[in-house]
Amino acid sequence: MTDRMRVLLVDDEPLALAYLRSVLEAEPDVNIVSECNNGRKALRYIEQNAVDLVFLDIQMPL
Amino acid sequence: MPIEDPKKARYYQVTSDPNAQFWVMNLLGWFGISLITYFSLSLPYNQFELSYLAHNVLQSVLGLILCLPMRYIFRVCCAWPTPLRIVISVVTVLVLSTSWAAARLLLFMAMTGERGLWGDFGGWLFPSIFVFLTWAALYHGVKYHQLLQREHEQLLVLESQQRREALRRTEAESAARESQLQLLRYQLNPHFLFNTLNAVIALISTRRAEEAKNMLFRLSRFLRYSLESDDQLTVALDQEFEAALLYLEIEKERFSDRLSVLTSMGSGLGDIQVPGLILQPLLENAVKYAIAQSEQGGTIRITALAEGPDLLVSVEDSGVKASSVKNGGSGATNKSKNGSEMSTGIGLKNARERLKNLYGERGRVEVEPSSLGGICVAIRLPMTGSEPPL
Repeated sequence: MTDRMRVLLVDDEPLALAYLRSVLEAEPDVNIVSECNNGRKALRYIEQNAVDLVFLDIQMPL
Repeated sequence: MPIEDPKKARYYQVTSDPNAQFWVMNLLGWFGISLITYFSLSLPYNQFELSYLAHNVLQSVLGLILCLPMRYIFRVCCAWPTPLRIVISVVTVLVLSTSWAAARLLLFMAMTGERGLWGDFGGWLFPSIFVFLTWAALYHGVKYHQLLQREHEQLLVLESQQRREALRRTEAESAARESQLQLLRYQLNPHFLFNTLNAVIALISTRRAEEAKNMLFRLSRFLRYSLESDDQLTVALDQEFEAALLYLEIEKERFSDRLSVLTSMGSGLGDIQVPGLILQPLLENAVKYAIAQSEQGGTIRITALAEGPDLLVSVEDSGVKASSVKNGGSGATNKSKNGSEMSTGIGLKNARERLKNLYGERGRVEVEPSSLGGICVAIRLPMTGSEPPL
């Protein structure tokens, strides 16, 4: 299972995160490694963890 | 001058016809002279024979006939210069009165058989001149009166035309203002609809049916309100508050615990009329710049209070919280502040225009720092309690 895509979800709206998760969880190749609700947290996560793909909201609090 | 009643119209036609007036006044005038002659001459001199009475009537008829050429002459020279008209009038009066005096003296002698009255001619001439002078004076007087009346009527017609024109202009102006107000009305922000529907999809995909139902229910009520308030110039403040709460409840669902809402309304203000959805751009600004950009979220406070004769409704937000500013650096603060000012630019301009259109100088938008930490945007309008004066 290590070859699954490591995905990070970043959005300040909990509903948007929930929706993204519900859609991506149906994909067998996707492994959602974490969720962040702002860009700062996302940057910190990426610095410390390996991530293949980031779903990033374009308008968020910093 | 338009006259509606046909009976009145006929009366008006007869009395305003100068020709009819001329004949009525002449017949009455000469009948009057006959009466005066009877009472001042026939009675004192005991001249009751038929020939004297017949002469009396005949001399009036003769006078009436002699007046016709005088009328003709006056008519011909009516537009000539006044001095010339006076000379012509005096000459005409002298000639015709002399003719009349001579004719009725001759008639008198012929009809009554009295002789040797030519020595009395002066006595016959004097009243004749007097009668014809009076006739001429009356003629000119009546003509002048008719002229004045005609001018007065024309003035009235002109005045009513001007009044109609002014009315049309006022109507056109208010129609223009109406359409301007229509343009300035709140247009539902498509992003709001889009975001809300996406949120509903998210709720459904995560099997939160109850929340999805509530959100759709609020959205539908908000849309209904925005449609209904579109037909009316103003709505009750109660309704406006309800719509604001519906909108904020929907946004609250999207931002979950990040948004808290406080409202307070002074007692008895619920029926005051305000422009429909006038608060909407203020609320959208508060959500967009104070809540959506702040990680911890914040508070929006809506307050309505009476201030003298004015109603003051304010929307305050808690602004961007200090912690996120600290971590994001000073650039972030500036960005969000600039954004806030930019958006207030469009949203507030619209609200400002609407208030100015409806209430003139008394409808205003005021912006100041809020005690909550963000900005406070207040609309001020006169409390009429009903439709604003248009």
